[in-house]
Amino acid sequence: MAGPAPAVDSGDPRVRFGLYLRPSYAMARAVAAMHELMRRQFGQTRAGMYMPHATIGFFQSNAPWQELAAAVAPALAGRPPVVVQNHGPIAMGRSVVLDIHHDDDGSVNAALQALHDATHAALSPLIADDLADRFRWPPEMFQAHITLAQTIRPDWLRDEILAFAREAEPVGPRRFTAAYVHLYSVLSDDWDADDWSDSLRWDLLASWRLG
Amino acid sequence: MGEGEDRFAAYERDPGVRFGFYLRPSYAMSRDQAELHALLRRQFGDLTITAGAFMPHATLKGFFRSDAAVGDMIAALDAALAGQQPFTVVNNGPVAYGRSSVVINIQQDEFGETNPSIQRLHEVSFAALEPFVHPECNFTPVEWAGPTFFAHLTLLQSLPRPEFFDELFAFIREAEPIGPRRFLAEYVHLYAFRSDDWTGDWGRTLTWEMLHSWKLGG
Repeated sequence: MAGPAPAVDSGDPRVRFGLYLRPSYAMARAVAAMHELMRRQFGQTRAGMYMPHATIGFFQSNAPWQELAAAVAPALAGRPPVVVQNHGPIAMGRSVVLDIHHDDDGSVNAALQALHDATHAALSPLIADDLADRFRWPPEMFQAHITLAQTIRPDWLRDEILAFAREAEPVGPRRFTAAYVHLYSVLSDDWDADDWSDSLRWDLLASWRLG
Repeated sequence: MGEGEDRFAAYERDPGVRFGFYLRPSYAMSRDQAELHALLRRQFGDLTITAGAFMPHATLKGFFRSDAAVGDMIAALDAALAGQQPFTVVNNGPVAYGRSSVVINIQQDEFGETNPSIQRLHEVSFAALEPFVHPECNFTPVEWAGPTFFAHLTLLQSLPRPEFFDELFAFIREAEPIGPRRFLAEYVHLYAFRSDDWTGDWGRTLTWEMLHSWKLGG
């Protein structure tokens, strides 16, 4: 049944938007399998409430999503697919993630950083100053990653989970081509609650193919 | 089997029930199909919910409404399946149905010709069940049957937003090979289904129960 795009009330304080890089099939499969095992072995459900993705932007906006999509499109136009290097699991705060921020030689993946910075600049005018979540990842804090276990509870479990994830290596291919960028609406009943992820749900709103 | 009148009675003469008769894939085929259903759901969300709402299967007789006794359908299938033997199914990989579905084509054999065993199995089971179809069944009149039958294993069904189709089809092709190149078809199943909306978005609320299983040649 063909249907319309989902209605999203941007003014709803429960609504956030995610601009995400979609991994390749092989990477998505490996990440989804790790999410499932994190839930089965450690009861860690947060990362698996999301689709496999690398966050480019996560933010709140009062603009209709079509306006957000219209702003993102020119920032992506003409950009080729991004070759992403997977450096394996690392700790990031209370999370365990795959580090995809760097090239083989250890320098920042310039194409990924440029994609992030361009879309961030395009979206910034559509984000009011008084919103709670302007951008979780401003340019200077951007560190490209794919989350395996998010804000681990209890926090003392993080190092064990990191060691467990490293036992699973290689988690996905060492290198993949990211060819799609997705815009999602992401909704939680209470982003400030300890259990914000328990009520998480999301919808794919728009997709762009790079190149 | 533990079958009982009570279990069947729950589905009989109920306009909210549809039945279906399906070929069960082998373990290896089933595992890969189920894994892809789950990954599509994880990566793309509820847009892809319908295919994975089913068990892995190849339809022999699609959804039908019926007021017949389940026991009568089973008896008719017992007779129709007598003499049907297990056979080899060839997996010809994913193909698109329009811009809403992607299926693994299992209609042809190694040589690109219609697999005569699966075509015959469809025809005998369809003929056995057709007399039980309710005159107001909304699925059977538009079913691909007989000469238009096309045996398949569904990976993506009824995508509600065709603008995402090309990406999903490309994602599925990245997953190839999906399942073994060949598998042995040995089991067929009769199912009952319920949905809150048989004339609309039925996949969102689909539930099912297996009513009977046959081993071919058994």
